[in-house]
Amino acid sequence: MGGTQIIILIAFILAIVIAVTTSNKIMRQNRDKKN
Amino acid sequence: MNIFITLTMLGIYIAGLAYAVYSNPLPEQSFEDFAVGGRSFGWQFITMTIIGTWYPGSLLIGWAQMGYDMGVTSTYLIFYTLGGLYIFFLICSPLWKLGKVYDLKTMGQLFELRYNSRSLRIFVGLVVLLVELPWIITELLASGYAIQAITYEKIPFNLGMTIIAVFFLLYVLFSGMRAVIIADYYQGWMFLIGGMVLFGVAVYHFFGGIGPMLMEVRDIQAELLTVPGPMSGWGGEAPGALFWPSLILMGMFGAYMWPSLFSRIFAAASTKELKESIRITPFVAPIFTLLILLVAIGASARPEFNTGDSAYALVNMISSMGPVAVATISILILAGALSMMDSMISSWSIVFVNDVLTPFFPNMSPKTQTTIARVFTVLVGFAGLMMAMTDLPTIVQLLTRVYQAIVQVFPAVFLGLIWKKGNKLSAWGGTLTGIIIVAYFAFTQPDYVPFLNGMQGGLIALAINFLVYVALAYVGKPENNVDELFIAIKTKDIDLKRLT
Repeated sequence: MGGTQIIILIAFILAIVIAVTTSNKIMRQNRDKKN
Repeated sequence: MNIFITLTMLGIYIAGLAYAVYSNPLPEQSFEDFAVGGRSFGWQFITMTIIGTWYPGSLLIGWAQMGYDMGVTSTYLIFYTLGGLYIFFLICSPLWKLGKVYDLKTMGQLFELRYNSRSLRIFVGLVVLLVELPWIITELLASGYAIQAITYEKIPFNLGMTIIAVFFLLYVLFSGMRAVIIADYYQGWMFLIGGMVLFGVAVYHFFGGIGPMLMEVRDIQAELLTVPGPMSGWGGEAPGALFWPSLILMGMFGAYMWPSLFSRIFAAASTKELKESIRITPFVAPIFTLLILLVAIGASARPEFNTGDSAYALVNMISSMGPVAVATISILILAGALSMMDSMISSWSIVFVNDVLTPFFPNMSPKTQTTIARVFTVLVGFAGLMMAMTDLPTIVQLLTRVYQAIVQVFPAVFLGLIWKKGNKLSAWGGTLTGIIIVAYFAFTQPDYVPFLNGMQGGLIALAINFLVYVALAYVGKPENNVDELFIAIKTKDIDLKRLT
């Protein structure tokens, strides 16, 4: 796999990791705030 | 090996999306939770969900084709994204406050509240639903294409569309607007990081930078770097000089009139969260759009990737980089299609229950409303799927032509929020006049009006619509409840509770 492919793959995985972790974190904070 | 890489990436993407959505169920089975996510979302979600919903899957196909064929004319999308956000900034605070105090969930409800007209609510509800219908089909087709591409045609087109339709219908059924906002937040990150890196890398991979890329385009087809107009080299076939600016203005005024985006304003936790989302969106959204359009324009300098249909030249070019690029661009198309379809179908079900059914059955319980919304979601989803699998029915083709009708609700929404004099008569008069003029131009002219120097017919309709609204506002009397509504609009968030 070439260098460009690896950069694209890292960005793809980073996007998913950030989206999943931050969405759950913010939703948890919202729930805590409401309670 | 290639298909193993692409399918693994698709699996990771779907698993991440499913995990984000399903780990946040509805806290209670109320229609408010289903319809506007309990009015609980902060600026981070509002920002990313606007970005996620803004870009359809067809951005990388239809708009990319415009970049390929018409060059920088396609950049109208960047300017109208910015202009639309300005309109969003102007209307978000009064709209949210009215939503909070009067439990608004849809545009139709706003019309009934502001103009005291139930028939106007039903009319507006139906118009916005019908104008949005063709988009669902376009996006289903885009998702079928994405699945076909990512599986190297191992999964046929129709089966790919069906799998994706079932997937998003399941999460919309699970928690309505809450699921949609979380899913679109996820897609927003996919665009921002996955998309920006993919297209940034592509510019250097194929051309060695933006400068060399544009020079190649200039050497092959210099007019692609100009917008149609006098002395721009486009020749007599191109639309006139007013085409480009009218595209921008129409997009800007219509941007937040689509029901799927309009109702997002009600999902925010406060006006502060809405305004804070404007800190980031105007910077990142245009950069992402510019990158895609630039690469699409650059693709015109690589004619070997145009294998008969310029709509797929950008995807073909990016895909030539290898399986990771194939997977990423297909997933970006899928992300755009999913975020558009889930938003539209959920807002359809909400508008249908709220604006079309509830006025006839005012005592319907919130639980019944939620159940009917869920049933309607499934019906619309499968009806769209059936239509996408056949030749588009004439009604859909007709609706595609009148898409500019959506902009015609803007004067009644905007002026209704800032000017007390607007009344039932002006709202009906302005909106109907606008829609009739749009329909006239849609069926007698191409997408622009040649004798108006290329201006879009919808923009003329909008100007007349504004004038009719203002004129009729002086003919009729202001609505009885208008002072009360403007007190709510001028009240600070923190004091709104005593008005509810």
